Amino acid sequence: MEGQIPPLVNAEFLSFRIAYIVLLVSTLTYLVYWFFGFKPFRLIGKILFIIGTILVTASIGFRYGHSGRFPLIQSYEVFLLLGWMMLLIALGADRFAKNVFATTFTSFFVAVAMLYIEGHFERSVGDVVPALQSHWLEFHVATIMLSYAAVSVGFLGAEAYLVSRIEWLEEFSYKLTAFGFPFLTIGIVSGSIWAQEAWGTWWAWDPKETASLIMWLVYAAYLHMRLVSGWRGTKAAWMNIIGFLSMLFCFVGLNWISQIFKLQSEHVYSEGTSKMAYFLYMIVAIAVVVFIGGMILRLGKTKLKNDGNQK
Amino acid sequence: MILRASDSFGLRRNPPIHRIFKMTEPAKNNSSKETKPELGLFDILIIGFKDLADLLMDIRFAAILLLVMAFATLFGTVLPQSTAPRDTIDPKMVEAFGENLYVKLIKPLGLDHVFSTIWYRFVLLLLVASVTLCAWARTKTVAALSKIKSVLTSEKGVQSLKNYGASQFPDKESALKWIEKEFKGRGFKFFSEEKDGAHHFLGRKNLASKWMLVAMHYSFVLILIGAIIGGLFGWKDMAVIREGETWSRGDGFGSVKLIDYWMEFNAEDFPDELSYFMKMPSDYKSRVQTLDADGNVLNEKIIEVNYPLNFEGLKFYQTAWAFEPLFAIYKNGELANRFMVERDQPFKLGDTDIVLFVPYEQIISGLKVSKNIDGQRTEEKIPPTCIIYEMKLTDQKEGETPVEPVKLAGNGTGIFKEGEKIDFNFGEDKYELVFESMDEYTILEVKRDPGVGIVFFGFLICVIGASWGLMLPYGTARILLTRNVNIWHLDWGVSLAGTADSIRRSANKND
Repeated sequence: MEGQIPPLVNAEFLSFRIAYIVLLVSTLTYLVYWFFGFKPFRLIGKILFIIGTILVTASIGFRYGHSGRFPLIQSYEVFLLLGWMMLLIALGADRFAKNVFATTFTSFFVAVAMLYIEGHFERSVGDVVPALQSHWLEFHVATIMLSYAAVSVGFLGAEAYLVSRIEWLEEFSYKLTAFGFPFLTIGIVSGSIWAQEAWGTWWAWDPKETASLIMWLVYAAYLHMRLVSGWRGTKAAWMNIIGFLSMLFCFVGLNWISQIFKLQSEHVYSEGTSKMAYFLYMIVAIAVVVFIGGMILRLGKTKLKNDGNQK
Repeated sequence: MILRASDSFGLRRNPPIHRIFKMTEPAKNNSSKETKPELGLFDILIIGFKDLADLLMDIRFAAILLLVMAFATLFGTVLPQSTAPRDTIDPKMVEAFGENLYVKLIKPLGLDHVFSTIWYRFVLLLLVASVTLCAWARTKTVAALSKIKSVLTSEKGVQSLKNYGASQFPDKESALKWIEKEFKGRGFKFFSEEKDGAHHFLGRKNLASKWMLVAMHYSFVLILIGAIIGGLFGWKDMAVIREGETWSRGDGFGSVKLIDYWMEFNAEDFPDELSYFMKMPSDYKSRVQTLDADGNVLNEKIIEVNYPLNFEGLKFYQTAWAFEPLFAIYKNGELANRFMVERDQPFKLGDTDIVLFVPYEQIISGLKVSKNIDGQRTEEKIPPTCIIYEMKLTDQKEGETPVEPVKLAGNGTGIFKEGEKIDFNFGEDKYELVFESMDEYTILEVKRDPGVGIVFFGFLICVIGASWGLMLPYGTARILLTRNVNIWHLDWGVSLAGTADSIRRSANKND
């Protein structure tokens, strides 16, 4: 009937909302485990985390169903994709490194991000402009988002390390960055090949291209100093955070600056300046929370202080 | 961070100039009449180049260069680039940044065209030189690593790998089993030697990763070579082709003929005519024929964004399009004027001074595409259509004041198709504005880049190198197995912290 919202749209909306509620509860459950050391709460937190991840996956799947394309074009879709990938990476870190830090703070990060994008970004499915009608779109965006997700989770570790001085957190942030860097390389390369196919120029010094180059250079410097020069601890953590800031600049800040300085770029999202600014404020808020978490670790009130690898 | 002259920031402790003077100092014991030979200019140059090479090969210097390059690129990312020719002042930039900042800082440093400044290119060149020399130095290192010189180790040698531990076993067999399980099971390949009752083991894992990382560094050189070749020998042009006409790069070459240019609109995304002007078309396409030098048709192809045409070593990219809408004005039934309508341009009504001001928002021409129940594509032609939101009659003698509003075409939406007209009166005269016809052009960017193949090959090596080298890190392990009465003592060390943690966890589990 006219005026009725299609069922898939409803399902997308519902799974999205339940997802961030579940992820917030997961964070609280994990924090109880952190504070008091009750092991069952760790399991509950993990189960809720998995449920939240499944719900986000479902939301993306429903969107694919009613839009008929992979949801990775509009701001809403891209931010949701980033959140989803961060959840998967945190799950991987929990599975392989037995690292509960990743799931705790990633669930909070993603839940807050979802709350934000629900209220600020256009949800209705937009048109795909001719320039984006290519088989390279999915590959390029997915690899770039995976790299962003990896370095974002790595940033959480670096920041927590600076506050708590727990060594494995810095090692954890390095490993995630080393995991994300090849995907960043693949993403930039695939973008270049796509540009050559679309416009005949594999490098046009577009602001987004140069911003991604900056991010690549900063992380390359970080990896060099850590792998070859043996940087560890504070120096490496700060460098990791600078790398994250370069990622934020490339992903979000550039859009903001493009609108202020009226830069021409093929990659500028259509969201208004104020929305991007609020997103940056949100990142600062999350950083503050991670700071608090790190302080809790430092004060020694949790079992995670000495060994992040739990059996 | 405070840098001191002797700071071990990876830079040389003895700057070259001191070494030169040292070498030219006379011997302290003057009993011998022999003195050291004096250095000529050539010798000094050689020493200088060697020191420069050493500096460029230094990893920390390379990391600094990476950050300098990132910082320099930041200016080119944040500031609008190439808004005006280099030797002119852009008033918009002056307005945005202020005259002082723009004229005294931005312009002289070339911050408004960073990527073509000499200093940026110098940093890039330095970085590539550093990468090349680093890769060359590491090629020799990795090649040397491939050869096993000695397996013998000591407790100190084991602990020098920074991640180490120790275990005890009742017999040699169980110790060897443990090594098999914990190390070989994790991908280490071992070389062993027995000496004085002690068993020495040297293990390696993923040696290929080292080669992959070296290859990755060489790939940047390939990319730069490809870019230089493309820049020097590449070629580009714009082909503006009207429907029915051809374009060729010169005599003796084939040509490309435009059969039809159109926009596409998906029926479900564009439900009515007004939506054509509210959103972007779903596609832009040019149907062309390729002809040989004699004019014989070789092939027919549709060019669209992301699907260029390859012809005679050139690539044709769908870049833009153009329309030439032809309008005519009839005054009291007689043709008064015929003109090409351009957006917001005024036109005279015949020989009067009355000016017709016809702003139009957009012109479209193309196909409406839909899929039927069977999934088959159906097309409906959309004739050339423009939208005119407003028309004003202006008496130029009196200035820009609108004289009389004019009724819009159709049902007031202003949608105006080819062949349609708008009637209006002015004074005692009757006028008709007729949309007579429209010429359509496609605009294709034609390019040849002989270096792009080398660039893409460099990309491939870079991607493989980065992925392999970082995901499968190289690791070394050393094990010393000694016997103390009835107990076999095993000291192990491994370069990979994660592997060491995993071994410790496994050992704790078994305990």
